Amino acid sequence: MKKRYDEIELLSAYIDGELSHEEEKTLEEKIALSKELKEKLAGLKKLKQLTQKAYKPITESPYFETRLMAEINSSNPVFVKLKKYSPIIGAVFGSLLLMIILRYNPGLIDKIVEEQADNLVGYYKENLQPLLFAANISNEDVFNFALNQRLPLDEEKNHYLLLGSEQEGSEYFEIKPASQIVYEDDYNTFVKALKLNQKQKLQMDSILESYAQELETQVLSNDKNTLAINSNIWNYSKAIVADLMLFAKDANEKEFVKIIPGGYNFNDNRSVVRVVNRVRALPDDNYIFFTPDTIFKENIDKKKLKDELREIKKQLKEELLKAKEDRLKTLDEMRKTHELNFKVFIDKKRSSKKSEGTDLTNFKIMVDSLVCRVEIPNFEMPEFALPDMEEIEKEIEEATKHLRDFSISFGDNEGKSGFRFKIDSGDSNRTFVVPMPNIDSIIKSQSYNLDSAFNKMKGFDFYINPDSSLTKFKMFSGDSLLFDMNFDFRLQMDSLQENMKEFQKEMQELKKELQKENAERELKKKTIKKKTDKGIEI
Amino acid sequence: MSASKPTDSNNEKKELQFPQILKLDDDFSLIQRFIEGDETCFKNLVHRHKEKVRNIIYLTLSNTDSVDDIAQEVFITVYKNLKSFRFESLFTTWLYRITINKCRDHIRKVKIRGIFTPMKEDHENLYESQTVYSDVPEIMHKAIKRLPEKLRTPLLLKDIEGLSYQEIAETVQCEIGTVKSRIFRAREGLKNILKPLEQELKG
Repeated sequence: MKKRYDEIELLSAYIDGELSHEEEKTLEEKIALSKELKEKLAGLKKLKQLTQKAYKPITESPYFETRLMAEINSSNPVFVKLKKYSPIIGAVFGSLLLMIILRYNPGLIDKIVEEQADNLVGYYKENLQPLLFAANISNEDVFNFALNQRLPLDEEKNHYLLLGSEQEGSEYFEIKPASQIVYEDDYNTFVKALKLNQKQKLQMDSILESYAQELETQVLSNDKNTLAINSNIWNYSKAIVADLMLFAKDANEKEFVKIIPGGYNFNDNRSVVRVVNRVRALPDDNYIFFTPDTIFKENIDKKKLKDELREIKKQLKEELLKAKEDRLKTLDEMRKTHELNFKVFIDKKRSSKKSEGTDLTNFKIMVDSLVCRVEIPNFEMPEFALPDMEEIEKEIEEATKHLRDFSISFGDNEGKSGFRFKIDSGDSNRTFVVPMPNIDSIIKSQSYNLDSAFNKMKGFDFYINPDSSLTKFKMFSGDSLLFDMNFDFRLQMDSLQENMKEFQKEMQELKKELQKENAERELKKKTIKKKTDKGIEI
Repeated sequence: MSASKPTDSNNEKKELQFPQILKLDDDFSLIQRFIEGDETCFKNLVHRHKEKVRNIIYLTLSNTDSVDDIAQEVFITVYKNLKSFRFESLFTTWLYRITINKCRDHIRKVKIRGIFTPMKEDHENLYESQTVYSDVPEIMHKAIKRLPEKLRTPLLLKDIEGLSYQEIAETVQCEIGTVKSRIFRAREGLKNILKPLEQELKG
């Protein structure tokens, strides 16, 4: 087989005329003898002929030389090298140029950035409209805002704005659909509970209405998905509560004490007035803008905004009167036509100043299908005096009277750093967290910081879980008669209070002991010192 | 060579001064003059060899698409390196070697590009295998195209360009025995490819 293969290979070289004279001779002899080789040879010759015909020579290229010479001339070595290093040369020149420019004009980049930022700010500030004015908030809405810190964002009340503060002290707001909110008739409950007469009710309405006017301009929005919230809005809810509490106390103190047991610490009217005045006096034209691109703080010419709003309201009233006569237009239609023409003026002098104080970089924004939540860090607002421990105990005691279901849970892990009260009342709950210093370690390390530890104990923080479901349990969650007294839970609460008191006593004893020990030690030290002094003398 | 005989007898003295090899190849004198600074000689060289080079490119690639571009590259390489030509082998051998190398570079580039567009090539092959050809040279052309480049180039250099095994060996940079066996294997391969089309070839 191998031999035959070699012979055919020889045949291939033979037809190419590539065999030596001797090889040719031997092969020709073999071919003469073998029919098979003859056939193979014929086949190969045919194949060679066919191969030669397979490729027609290609047409000439007339401009070939001209093109080539042009190419060769253009590929001058210096030029080629320059071309090769052009990106590096370009980069070097570019950076040198930039260095020179920045040397003589160091603020250039900042200027450009600021300009662009201004452009962006300008873009998002266009066509801002007061969202809450459009929502047409009622007195009841204002009342709910004060208590539950929620405001409807549209007239159909499909979406609500919820304000709140985290346990760490940072503020946040949420936008939730109405389906996520438990609606309660708190306004009417309040009126009923206080047994307000018609005159008093009118009085309360006028208070609420005055705030409604203030609130109208607190939230702005436009067609570019910008939402501007006045940073004072958080304070307003507190101010309204304070105002309402003061009013309630004046109106019917007997019932007021019933529904607000420990309550806010507004014993004197002056403090409330002070708080309200403080809130109203705060710079009111600073808005936080939330846009698809960025978050920034800007001032808005509030006076012009209010003027314009007043003008529009006036026009609306006039048109409404006309419409009543004509009975052609509905109020909604008119409102819509006016919203389109609304303009917000930016206070340019003030907005050119860079915002100070609030750090706008640490915003936390969480968005899911239902809720949009924005956390605002380092937010400054007037603080109200929080009730001290004894009052909280009273409050808890009172609260149990109003609860159907009540349970207290002490988490195992939480015991070390503090403990947590969880109050369950059917579908709503409330959590108190009492942070505590780690007493064990203090004793173990023989530290003498017990005094400060006690101070910490006294001034503990009090938090309310800022969940919207909490709305059910508020300071005046309706008539006490509505709730059955739960004797077992009361007993549990009593025992808890006793435990707390015992604990306090123990701690105080411990403190005394430690002080004693301390004093002894001091004494010892002194004696040792005396001894050593003597030793030195010797 | 027969034309050089009369000059031999006329200028015996002058001839002794030139190396023997120069007589064999006019290209050498052109290169010599080019090295000495006569740039027009290069144009002359191009004129003499461009069609051969273009043909070899056409044969190696089996299509006319990039023939002129590659030929340009070949002659630019020649221009850049001609001054260091060592007169050890024929100019054509050197030229064809450059040509083949440029072609192989091109084929490699096309293959790499093909990795990123495999669908198109598959589609083309499918189309080709189903087509029936009536023209014999066309059948042959397609059959040769299907041979691997390593076998195809020596076969075509032999059968179409008429180079000797020695020249082919120098051009594709391998042993003469390898050329012999590659040409043989190319022919065997062709036979196999053409077997199903025997009837049409006879016709």
